[in-house]
Amino acid sequence: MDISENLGIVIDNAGKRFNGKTVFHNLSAVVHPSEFVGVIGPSGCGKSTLLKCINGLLQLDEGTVQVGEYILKAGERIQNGAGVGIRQKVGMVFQHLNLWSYKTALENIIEGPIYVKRMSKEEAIERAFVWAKQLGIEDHIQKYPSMLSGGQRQRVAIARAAIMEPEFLLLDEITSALDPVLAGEVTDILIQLKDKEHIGIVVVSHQIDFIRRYADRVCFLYEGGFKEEGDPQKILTEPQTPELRTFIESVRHGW
Amino acid sequence: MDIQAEALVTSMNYNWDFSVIWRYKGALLQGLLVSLELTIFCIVVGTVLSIPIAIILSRQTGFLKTSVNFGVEIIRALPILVLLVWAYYVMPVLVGFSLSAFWVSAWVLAINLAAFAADILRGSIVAIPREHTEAAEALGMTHNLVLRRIVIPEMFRRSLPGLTAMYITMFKFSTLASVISVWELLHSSDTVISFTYKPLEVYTAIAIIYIALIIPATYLSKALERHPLFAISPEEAEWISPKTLA
Repeated sequence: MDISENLGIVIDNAGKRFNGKTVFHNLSAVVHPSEFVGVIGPSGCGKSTLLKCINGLLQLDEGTVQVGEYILKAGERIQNGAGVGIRQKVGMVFQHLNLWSYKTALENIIEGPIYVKRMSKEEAIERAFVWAKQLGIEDHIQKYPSMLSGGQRQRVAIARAAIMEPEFLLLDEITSALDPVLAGEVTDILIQLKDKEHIGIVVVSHQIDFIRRYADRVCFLYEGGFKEEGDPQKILTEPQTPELRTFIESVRHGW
Repeated sequence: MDIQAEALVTSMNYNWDFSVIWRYKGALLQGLLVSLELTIFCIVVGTVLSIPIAIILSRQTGFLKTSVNFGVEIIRALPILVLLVWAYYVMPVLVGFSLSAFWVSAWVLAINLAAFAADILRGSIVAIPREHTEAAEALGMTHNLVLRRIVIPEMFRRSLPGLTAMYITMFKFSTLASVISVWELLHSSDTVISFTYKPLEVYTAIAIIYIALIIPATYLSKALERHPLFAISPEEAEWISPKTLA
């Protein structure tokens, strides 16, 4: 493994605008290998946009994102080239999961290995079963997403991303739609991915308790920049800025 | 013939004799075979042609889109019968070579299908949720791979009801080829009538043959639509709603 791979995800002075309105600006951060980073912030503050800019699903307007040898530059076309390279290193689980509803769970999981990693179908299926077993969905793998429960669908989406053996996994609000028991199970899976597979994890979440318990580091995104950043135990217990204090209060009261 | 047919219809004690159908089954089957050949060629070639047209119409901008759109509009504006006789009688004068009546009909049907199917497919491409292509991109698929693995299959999935209706219509339109003397089912039945003088039986039999083929095809298409492979799931429908776009 060369040095550039060890750096993780390096976001340098990144900026993004939608229709002239700044979503974030001058944003710099590093996500280290096998680190668990939580990104919190009020609705509409650009958390999901930030995730999609990291793996090049959205084009940056300023700055760069570097993962290993691939660099995404502002204004660069991202459908091929560095975008594709980064997306193979940085997997993503979407808020709405984005499963292909006309494919079975198994077909959803093996699509990437077969067509992106050019694995044989037999090998892809074999690996899919290993992941399905690890995530506890092996009995449901032949079903279509519409026949699965919310928690099972979530695992299919995680398996689909994890089977690509990414170095990092971006997860967008994945526990928010689940009841506490299921959310706990999904969290266990994430911890496993981090500890056993050494996958770095970036989670966007509203659930402060979840971040406080599991994340190595937390970033509070507010009005286009990281207002606070650091050890979740510390900054979520004793916020330094009034904005974070208000945010924590609002989440606690379910505003 | 018309006066004769009228005379037969008005005579209440007409003796129906369907045995002529059986006697001339060879000619009718031959005609049916030609009709099916025309339809299958038209479906395969027309559908293949419609794919790039649909992709250009849905994605590109500028000169390419404008010119393709112009061509499609012309084909769609022409009655298929006019296109057929024009291609058979005028085209050879313009281009200096002629095709057989069968191939002229087959190509005219295919081009007509392509123009209409392209619009159905274009609508389906536009309706594919961004989430579906985004998921593929997130796995590291290139633009072409997303097109091949997600956009084109999903375009067909969403177009199934419209396309099968078009295919069935093309089977019916294949009767138009009789105008330029292609020996398809309707034209061969005219020949049978000229031998037997039994138009009532022959035309009735032809009608029954079309119904017997088309109604099961319609049911098959409806059954396919209900399969999870083609049905639009509630979660997909939810994605399209404005709530999730916010």
